[in-house]
Amino acid sequence: MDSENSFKKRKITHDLEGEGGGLLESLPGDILTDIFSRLPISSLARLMFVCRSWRSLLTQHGRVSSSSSPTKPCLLLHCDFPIRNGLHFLDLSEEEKRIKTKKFALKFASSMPEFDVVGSCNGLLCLSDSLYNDSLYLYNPFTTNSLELPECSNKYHDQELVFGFGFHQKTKEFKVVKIVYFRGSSTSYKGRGRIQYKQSEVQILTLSSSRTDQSLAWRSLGKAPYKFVKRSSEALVNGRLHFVTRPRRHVPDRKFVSFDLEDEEFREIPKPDCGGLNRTNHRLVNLKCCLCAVVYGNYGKLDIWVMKSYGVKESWGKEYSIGTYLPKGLKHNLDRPMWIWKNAENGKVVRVLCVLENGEILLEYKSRVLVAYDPKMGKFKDLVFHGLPNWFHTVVHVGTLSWFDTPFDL
Amino acid sequence: MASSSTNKFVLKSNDDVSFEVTEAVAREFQVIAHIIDDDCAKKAIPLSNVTGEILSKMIEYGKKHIEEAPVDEEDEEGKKKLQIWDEEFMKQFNMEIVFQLILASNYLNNKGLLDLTCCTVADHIKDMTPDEVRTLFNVKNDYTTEEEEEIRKENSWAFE
Repeated sequence: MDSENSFKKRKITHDLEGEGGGLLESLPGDILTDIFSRLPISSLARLMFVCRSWRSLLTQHGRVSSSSSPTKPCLLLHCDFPIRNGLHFLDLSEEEKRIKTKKFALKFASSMPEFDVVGSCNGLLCLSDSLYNDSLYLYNPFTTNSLELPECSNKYHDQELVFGFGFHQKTKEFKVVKIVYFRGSSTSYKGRGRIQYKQSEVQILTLSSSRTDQSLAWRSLGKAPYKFVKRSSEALVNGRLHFVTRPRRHVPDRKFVSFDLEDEEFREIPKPDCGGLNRTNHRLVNLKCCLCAVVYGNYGKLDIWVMKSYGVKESWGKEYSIGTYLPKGLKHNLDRPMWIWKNAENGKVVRVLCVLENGEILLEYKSRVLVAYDPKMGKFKDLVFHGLPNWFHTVVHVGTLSWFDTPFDL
Repeated sequence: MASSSTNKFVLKSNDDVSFEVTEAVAREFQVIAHIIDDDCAKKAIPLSNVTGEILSKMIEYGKKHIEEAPVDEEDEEGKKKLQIWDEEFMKQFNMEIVFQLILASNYLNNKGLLDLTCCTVADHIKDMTPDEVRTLFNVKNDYTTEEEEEIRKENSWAFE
């Protein structure tokens, strides 16, 4: 094995002396990928345009990762007011003084003028048409690869949708989950008051990284066993998406439910002992690979409960308590009408985004200001970046140049 | 057995330049450490892939990292000092030399120097335009003019 290696190395050095190609071709492939992996995603995206062979090395290999990671993420800022059509990004893996807001030119702008971000996973985004809600796109903003997902054959006129998007390490598959609640065709809407969606269907679409001949089609998993709160799952932990149920007349308690992207089963997950949960006072998120429940108190205070061992009720613990804070940027009177952000964020002022490399917690205030909170000192720091849009919805993203069919190294 | 600080070895480059180094410095390079362990290092150790110029720089790096090695994992000050020296050390080289150092540290298997040199290249090309990168690495642009235009339009942010 050793002699084989040194033979390889010798041969490569010899090529350099021959001065045939460029300097770079003289470097063994693994050194080249080593160099690339130290670069921020914006540099890698530029390097794709050097020549075709670099593009294929950077995009197809599945080996080149950028310097961004879950603790040094790229933040995608989706401008959701007044029109949901802009996408900016900030790369936190860069040195602080180099971080700048940049804006993507969106390829699908003509066919989908306004969109929502369903989720971000392994460098890919799942986007939904926010005007009509019918089409879904898979998108890598750094390569501009995009794919309109096929329409589902089962369509319902009057419906409510809950989405999920994720990747499973074992199966190496991306899956889009669409839970549809609808009124059956037989029960036409007669009375006044709240519309009841009694029927449901779980639809799923698999995007495999190993099969290249796949034809993309939705499969039905039948009726949804739970009625979930209408928002996309933000917490992908252990290969499972997490949702929260709505209370029903005879079952007033909310439940945490996971959907396993491998076996496609719904399972109930134990809850923390954090008191009663209602429609607006909590969120499930993934922090440091653990399922966490952000529980809101009055005046923008919040507690973060962490389930340290997945699925073990006793492992739930209150890890952080964050007090009231008013970022400087919010003191200017620039608020959008109350009902708009109330609608968009269920009235929540603070969103917990991620834990950074230095242990600080990244927070988004009123869709307008990014704040780093130091839990040790209990101090808040407004993050000011040039070119930040006025209103945005932050998506924590790991920048890559891969696509869903990029083979993964095992 | 003599201690590694007094035991000396001779490293010989492919253009016949010899360097006498202590065993500790020689062992900074994994491949040479294996040769020593296999007891094949009676006389000079010939290194067929490394020139004298490059080898002298690698030995300078190896010596510094032996002499100024941080006391332990906790020695932040020692680490910082060495890091500053590393940065200064790399500043003297042009890219061609850096590439040769990469190949040589890969060949002789010194992870520290390989990391340092790869980092230097990454820093150097971080802000380059595709054109500048092509010139540096002598790579031919095989995109058509139309394709390039499309690329610039779709990825305008990357070229700001």
